[in-house]
Amino acid sequence: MLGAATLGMALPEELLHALPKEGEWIPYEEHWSSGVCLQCPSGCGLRIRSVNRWPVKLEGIKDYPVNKGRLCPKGQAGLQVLYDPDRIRHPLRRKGDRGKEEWEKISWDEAIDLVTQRLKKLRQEEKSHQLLVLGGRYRGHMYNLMSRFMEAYGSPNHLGNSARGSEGILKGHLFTMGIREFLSIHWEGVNYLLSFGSSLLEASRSTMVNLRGYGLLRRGRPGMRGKLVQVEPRFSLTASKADQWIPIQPGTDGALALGIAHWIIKEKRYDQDFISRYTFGFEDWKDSSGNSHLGFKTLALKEYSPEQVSSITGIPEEKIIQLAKEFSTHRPSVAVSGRGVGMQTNGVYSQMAIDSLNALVGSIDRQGGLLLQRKAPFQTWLPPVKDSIAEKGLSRSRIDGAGKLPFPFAQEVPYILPEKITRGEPYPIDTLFLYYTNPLFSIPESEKFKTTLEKIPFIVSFSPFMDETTTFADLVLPDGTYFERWQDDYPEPGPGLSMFGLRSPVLEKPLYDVRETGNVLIEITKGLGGSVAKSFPWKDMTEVLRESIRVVFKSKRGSIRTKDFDEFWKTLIEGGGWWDGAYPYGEWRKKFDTPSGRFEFYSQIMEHGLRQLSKDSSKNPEAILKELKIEAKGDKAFLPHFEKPRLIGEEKDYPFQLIHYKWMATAEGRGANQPYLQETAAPHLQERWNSWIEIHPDTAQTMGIKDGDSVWVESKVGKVKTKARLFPGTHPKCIHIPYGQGHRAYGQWAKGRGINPNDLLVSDYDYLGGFLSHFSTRVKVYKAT
Amino acid sequence: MMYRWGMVIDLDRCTGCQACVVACRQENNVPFAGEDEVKLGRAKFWMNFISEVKGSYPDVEMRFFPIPCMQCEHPPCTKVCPVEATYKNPEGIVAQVYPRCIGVRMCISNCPYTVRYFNWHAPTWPDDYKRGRNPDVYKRRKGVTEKCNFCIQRIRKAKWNAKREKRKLRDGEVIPACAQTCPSEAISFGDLNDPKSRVSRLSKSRRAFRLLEDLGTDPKVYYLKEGEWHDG
Repeated sequence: MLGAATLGMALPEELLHALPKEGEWIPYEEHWSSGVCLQCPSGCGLRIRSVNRWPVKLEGIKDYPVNKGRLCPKGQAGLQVLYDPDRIRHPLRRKGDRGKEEWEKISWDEAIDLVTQRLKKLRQEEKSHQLLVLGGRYRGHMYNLMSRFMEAYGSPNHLGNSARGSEGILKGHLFTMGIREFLSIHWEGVNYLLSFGSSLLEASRSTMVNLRGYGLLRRGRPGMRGKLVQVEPRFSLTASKADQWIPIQPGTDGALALGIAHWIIKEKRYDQDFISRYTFGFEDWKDSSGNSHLGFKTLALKEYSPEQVSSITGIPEEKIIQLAKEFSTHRPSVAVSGRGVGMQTNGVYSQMAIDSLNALVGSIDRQGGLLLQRKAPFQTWLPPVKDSIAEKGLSRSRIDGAGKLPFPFAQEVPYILPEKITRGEPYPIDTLFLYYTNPLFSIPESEKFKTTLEKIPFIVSFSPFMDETTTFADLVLPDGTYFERWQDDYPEPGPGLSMFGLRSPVLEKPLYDVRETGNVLIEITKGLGGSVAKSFPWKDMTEVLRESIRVVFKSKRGSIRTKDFDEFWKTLIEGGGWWDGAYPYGEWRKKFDTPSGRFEFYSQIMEHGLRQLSKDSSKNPEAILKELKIEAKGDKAFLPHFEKPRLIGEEKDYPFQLIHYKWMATAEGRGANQPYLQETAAPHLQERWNSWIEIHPDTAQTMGIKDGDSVWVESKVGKVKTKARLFPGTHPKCIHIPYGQGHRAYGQWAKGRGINPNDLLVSDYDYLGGFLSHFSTRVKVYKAT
Repeated sequence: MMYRWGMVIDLDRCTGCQACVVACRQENNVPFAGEDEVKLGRAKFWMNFISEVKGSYPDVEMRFFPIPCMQCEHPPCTKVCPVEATYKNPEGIVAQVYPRCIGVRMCISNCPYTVRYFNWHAPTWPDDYKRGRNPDVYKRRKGVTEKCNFCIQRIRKAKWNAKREKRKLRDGEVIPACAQTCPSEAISFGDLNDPKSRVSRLSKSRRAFRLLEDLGTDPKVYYLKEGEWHDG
């Protein structure tokens, strides 16, 4: 949307002298509009400078609570998304074989009709459950819209998690607090930050809140410089900027957290008030039938002394005590985690242990603690209309078996799809929708996924870019970029307080013949008619948004207060977002959504779930725990404890553990099509436009590998050839690979560059959490000749 | 009094994210070089980013600096230009007059901070990117040297605005692209002649230092060194 234009003066093309003389300046029209960045899940407010209607520069919205006027490098490179010459410019229908990228241009009417007729037929045959939707970066109400579509249409097969790879963190929070979201750090107040492998300065939730927060921790508060401790096997950028780096044996973060808890409990340094009023299962306890249960206190004191923990983690006892002492005395202190913790077979328990540290010092929903992202008061929609076909379709079990053994607590298991779909179990899939997701790149063992796609007769992609998975589509209905659509956006998480942003088209019409997926979906429902159409009474996405947001206007709170809604809407478009005044601290009773209504050291959500499962499957609880590959027995299984991480491959054949990592510019894997990001330097090695493996210099020497040598990395399922870089920050028993390169498609700047660690990963799971453990693969390395 | 522009980069706040590097290139129409040119050392980074890793596991250290032109008070680069294509302007900015530059690159070899860049080719963009160029900055051609100029176009614009309102520039009114975007607010910019400006105050901090100070170049870019945590 265009704001008021101002006039500027441009320099003439050819200059003969330092500054143009009067009359030589070329006048231009300049205006600024607002939007929301989509380069990562942060969702930062954008001010967009346009010259003669074309966007030329991006800045942050000054007061926007996520980014406060600032942008990260990905945000700054955003115009290379809009202007990417390899964008899909119109709907495409496949002409040649799948994956061969031979397309013909078709009209939108024809394309939408193709999808509608296919879906109509599927419903007529009462096979609506055979529609599968894989979604990724949903923002704002787009997720709700797609879910609603699936409900009205009648398929249970919507996989729409936008946080794949971080499920362990979410599941930990769920079991201890009943919370299904990520938490963020209250940087303005925190004094001591204990990070278990969180890539705070490279790739974390939320990128901008944490980058900005780091500045606050260091120099934002006069006379107070907080401490950051980074626990991580690899010497990362965050580790380099931390006050202390604690190298740790991979997969043992949970044990360290429990060792710290042991000391804090033993020395009675915990927040007794918070523990007694807002937690459950700390002391030994008796249930309603009078049975005694193990408390967290007893377990931690018995099994996780610094001596015991030191032998698991490889961290000296005195360091464990030092951390415990500092963590409990320099409050407000916070323990956070990152991908590393959650990408192990023991991810859930590790996260529960880390959450327990925060409970011990009472730093949840407090100043200087962890914040629970509050939602904006949007209008809730009336439930969709479901006819008998929809009811029948929805009653079918999910294709991925989420919620059933062996993944009882998973909401979705995309990783298992290849097995299920290839075998046609429990039924075949007829049509697949792909929305902002690229499993052929982002999921391990992509070859398997490719075979899966071959089993699906009809694949539709809504991607603006020709990514790997889209090359296998039969039909492409390209969405515009985040500069060309109407979409709301709320952070998950952001600064904590309730807020949302609004994208509106920057240009009068999109650069190419592309359409917002929300609008396309609504149009499809109209074609399908009946109850599906009735569930979507809106004209287009703008109407959906206006209706959902109207209630925020009515609440008469927050940053925009106007007399009528039209004025509210106009102010919203111009300003880019709405946010609440303050964060409501201390709503524990309201936010802890557990059976006890408290923070649960002893997870009753887990216990009740397993009890129910045992009833349904007539297996005894012990057998179920075994099936989930949990070694602990009895009460311990429901308490934070240490489970030994499982690794795939024998050490004698595959001596190294593969731990991939992210760094800022390529963190998303989606940034690889932007030259400005490709050309920023990996901070520690000054590498650009590439990827590599990192080897410890001593290890490399024993293998005769020199810096820059070409090497093979091989796991049980694959091998890749790449460049070896000797990096002293490499854990001697590990190999590290940056994530984000190795595209086989995705435009001229991404394709055929570097390697994708997913090509090496073998699938194993944290069954309790229902997610893939990305850091469980062993590899070998040898010189390429 | 005349303005004397200076910059302070707080290394204690710097996260190494390189938002400054990208923002600078987008603002100043610096095209990306591509992998091959990068390998030849021909990529242009008016705001450069250098780093150093030391030690061995587990005692490893890494230091890094964002490096713009130091805008030296005694610039070694201007002295060697045979055609006066580069000069220190009255406000202390070391400016490059592209039409005058004949590409002998003496300035490049004489810059101790290696922050001058040569156009080995005419700057090129994919056609679609051309719409996103900034109309306020000078066009460069093949064979000329270019460098950071503290976003001189932004200074000029701010001065026009101030002049229209018949006043002096306010502290913080001129912000180069790098400083504006810096997520952790590590970069400050302003008038060193104004003792009350943020940069003046920070440049006198006990943590302040400048790069290769003993060369006598008298840079107007200050760094603040990292702090230490005290168990107190």
